Amino acid sequence: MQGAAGALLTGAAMAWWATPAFAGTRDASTAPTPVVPGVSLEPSNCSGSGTVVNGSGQVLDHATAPGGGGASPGNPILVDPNGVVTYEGTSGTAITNHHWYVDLDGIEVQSGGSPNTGMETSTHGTKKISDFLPAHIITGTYYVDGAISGTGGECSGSAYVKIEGDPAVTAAFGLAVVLFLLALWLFYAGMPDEAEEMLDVADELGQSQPPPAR
Amino acid sequence: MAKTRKGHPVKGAIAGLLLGLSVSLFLLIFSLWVVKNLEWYAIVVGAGVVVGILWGLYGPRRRRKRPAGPPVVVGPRGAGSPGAPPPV
Repeated sequence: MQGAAGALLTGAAMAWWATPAFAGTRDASTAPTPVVPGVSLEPSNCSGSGTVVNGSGQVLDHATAPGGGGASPGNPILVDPNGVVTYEGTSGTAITNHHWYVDLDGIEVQSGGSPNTGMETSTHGTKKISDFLPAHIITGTYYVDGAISGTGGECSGSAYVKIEGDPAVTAAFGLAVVLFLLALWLFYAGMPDEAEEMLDVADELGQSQPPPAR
Repeated sequence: MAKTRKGHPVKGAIAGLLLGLSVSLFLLIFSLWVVKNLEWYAIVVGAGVVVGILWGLYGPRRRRKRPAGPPVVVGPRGAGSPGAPPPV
């Protein structure tokens, strides 16, 4: 259970998660954006919260669930690659012999499991985001979802996470520019040739030069 | 010596692939298109490949420069030259 919670939170770039599912709300006093839900969790006997702090130590975003409208691309959880996230989560019942996973845009980024012999029903912790997402690699908004299932129950959660930063200084931007320039060059090189056959015939006749103008 | 066009569908496909990848990256990092599954970006990449193949086959023609060769020497017209007027 702890693994699942930590996984969703960390792998999800700190989307935070508890154990099961709800809809989260933002703390209007700290969030720079309007109060909107940013997380979905199911079923309702799971709860959680998370706080994202940027590299300067200021609270960047905060979300709790249940209590809101769920994950929405228009209201992502803001994440600073230089910051940390503090999270906590609980489940209504202990989930033992569980397996958990975290997907980022449909791609599994973390997974694991535990027998949870201690019958724990809560977890908490703090994670450095740079341990999972180095700065200046990529920015953008991503859909993060995950679930834990095992003996005693299951929970799933999802959120949109927006990685803050200037896209123009990321490695992904540089790669995109290089690919774009290569594509342009190849588009030019890939243009159909004209009069190719004329040159071939001329070569066969040993006249690679055009006749002199008279 | 009929004029023909020689297409380059493979070059075009690679160009389209790279263009699709770069456009997908731009969409991703600028949050211009948020999806739940990265597979959606395969549509962009696939469209790029199709456009590239069509470009390589039916795109505007590129005039290829003739290869450089030794200069053609043309002698002065005069006695003995073919086509020269007969001496008066």
